[in-house]
Amino acid sequence: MRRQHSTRFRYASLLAVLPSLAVIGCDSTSTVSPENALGPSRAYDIWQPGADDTCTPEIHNSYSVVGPDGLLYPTWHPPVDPASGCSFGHEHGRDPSGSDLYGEVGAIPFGYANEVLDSFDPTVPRHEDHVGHKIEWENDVEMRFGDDVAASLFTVRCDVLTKLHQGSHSKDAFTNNLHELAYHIRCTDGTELHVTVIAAIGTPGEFVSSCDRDRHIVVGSAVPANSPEGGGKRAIPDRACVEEHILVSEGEESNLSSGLRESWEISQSIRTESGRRLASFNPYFQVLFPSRYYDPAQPDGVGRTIDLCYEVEANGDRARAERCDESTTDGTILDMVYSDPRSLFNGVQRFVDINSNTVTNEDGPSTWYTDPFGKNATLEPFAGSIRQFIAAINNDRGIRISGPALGRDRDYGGPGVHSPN
Amino acid sequence: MLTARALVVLVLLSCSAPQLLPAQRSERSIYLHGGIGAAFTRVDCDICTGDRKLGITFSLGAGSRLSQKLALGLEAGGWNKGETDVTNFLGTLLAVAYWYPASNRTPYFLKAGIGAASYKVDDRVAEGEEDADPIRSKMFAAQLGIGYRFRVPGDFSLNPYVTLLGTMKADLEQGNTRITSASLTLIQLGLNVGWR
Repeated sequence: MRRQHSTRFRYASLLAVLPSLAVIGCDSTSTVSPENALGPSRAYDIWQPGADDTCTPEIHNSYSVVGPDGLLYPTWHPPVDPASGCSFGHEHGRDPSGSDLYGEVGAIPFGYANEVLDSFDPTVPRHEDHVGHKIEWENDVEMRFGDDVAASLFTVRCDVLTKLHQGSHSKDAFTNNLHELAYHIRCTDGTELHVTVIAAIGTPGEFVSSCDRDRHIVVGSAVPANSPEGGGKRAIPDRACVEEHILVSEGEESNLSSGLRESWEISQSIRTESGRRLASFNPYFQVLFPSRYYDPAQPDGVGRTIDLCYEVEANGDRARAERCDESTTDGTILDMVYSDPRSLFNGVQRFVDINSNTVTNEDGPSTWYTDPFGKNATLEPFAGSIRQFIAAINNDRGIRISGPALGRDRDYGGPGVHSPN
Repeated sequence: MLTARALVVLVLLSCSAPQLLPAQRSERSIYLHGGIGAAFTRVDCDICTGDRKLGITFSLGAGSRLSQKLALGLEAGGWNKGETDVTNFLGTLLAVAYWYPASNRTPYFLKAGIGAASYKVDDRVAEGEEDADPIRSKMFAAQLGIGYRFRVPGDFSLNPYVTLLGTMKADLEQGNTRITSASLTLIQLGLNVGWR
């Protein structure tokens, strides 16, 4: 995965690179070596080490890949660089090289769709931080059927590889509903998607409370200001969830999974210019024990979860959870900040519900070019388009097939990993 | 249990009784038979598990012997497999022909049939649970088989047999769901008791 290369880009090699780019297709990774990249993407070289991080930006930048546009992008790396032993302080989820789809997909360029959005509409830039890119995958996933009868007779197995920018440490997701999504799935029934989009998740400028989905919390303006409305929702814990489930009276146990759980529920479709649906999918990306919650009393609206471990309400309610005890060594560490690597509220436990994947592209072709939001699909590329692969099938049999949770028991933490992560 | 005992008695009788072959009776006569057995059934479609499920079978048949070598008749058969959550059932109704090609010393027979098959998977619903729609299919079916005829006194015979049944491709339907191009195969080992 690691690419050792010079950061001096060879713009002069554009002519040599173009033939390779022409055949890159929808694969995330080109065959172009980093040395021959056309230049850095906006996402490249934006990470800077914090006080607890021992890796240099140069080491970090060595984990890079050339995207379909010929630009250089950051990509997955382990929390600790195996060559030098230094720590980056953040993680990107599961090493994608173990995915059965990796041979086709390759290293995933972080920020490619965001970059394309700049070309599609320069007036609405949307760039995301580095640490929020999170990968999850699973091979040979047994899909679920709606009832016992169908389950007894039918089976569909899928390889899934996905990446969402899901920052759970800052105020970004309180208002911003646009987040880069790479979604790759290949199933035994012929279902196959290789899609990269800016997913519009829920309503811009607001989110819904994770403990009461009917409560829409309007926070402010989204970036960009004309962010489109998306299906699905971003369910994020707020102060009311904390007071209901975390700060509890003597004899009770804090309910962390109810009070501190984010669920970003995507409802994404790929549609033609005429609005005809080619494919749709609705994965839910969930984060357990994030480092933030929404607290309107804070200047930026960001409440820090670790602070709850020290808070005592006037009525005596407080957090009563092992995770607090472990983080603070049973309360003996009195001044832990949210970015402390010892805090277990760092967003390293995540999972993805795959849910349903519908392809209605029986007339083909399998290659489409869409805008960064997955809309206006055409057969020819256009400025600001992304090449997508959608199998030329119709898998909509009327039967309800959905995927299970991936990574439910995985913990992507590692030495030195801390919020922001 | 009663059926099993009867079968054992018939098998023992068959070992000592002289074999009576079709040639030794009047050429035109009716026949009846009933049998039980076991069969592996497999359903194939683009999303089917393709699992071979072992279940019990039963059959009832009647027809006419047209000559010492040929008999024609109708045969109804069933296959049942109960699982934890569902019950599988396959019913067949076939027009069948039996051919006794060999000499009196080797009374084996060949069998061929065509007809209809009806397949159903149904929910085994516990009280209070929601009942799922059954999966159903109706298919054209064909069967080939081979068996051996042990004559026993009283115009009876014991006939172990092996059959292979296959269906044409058809839809599996469950409510509004339709899985196209499904087919079914059944490999059966059975024993029937025949009269005349």
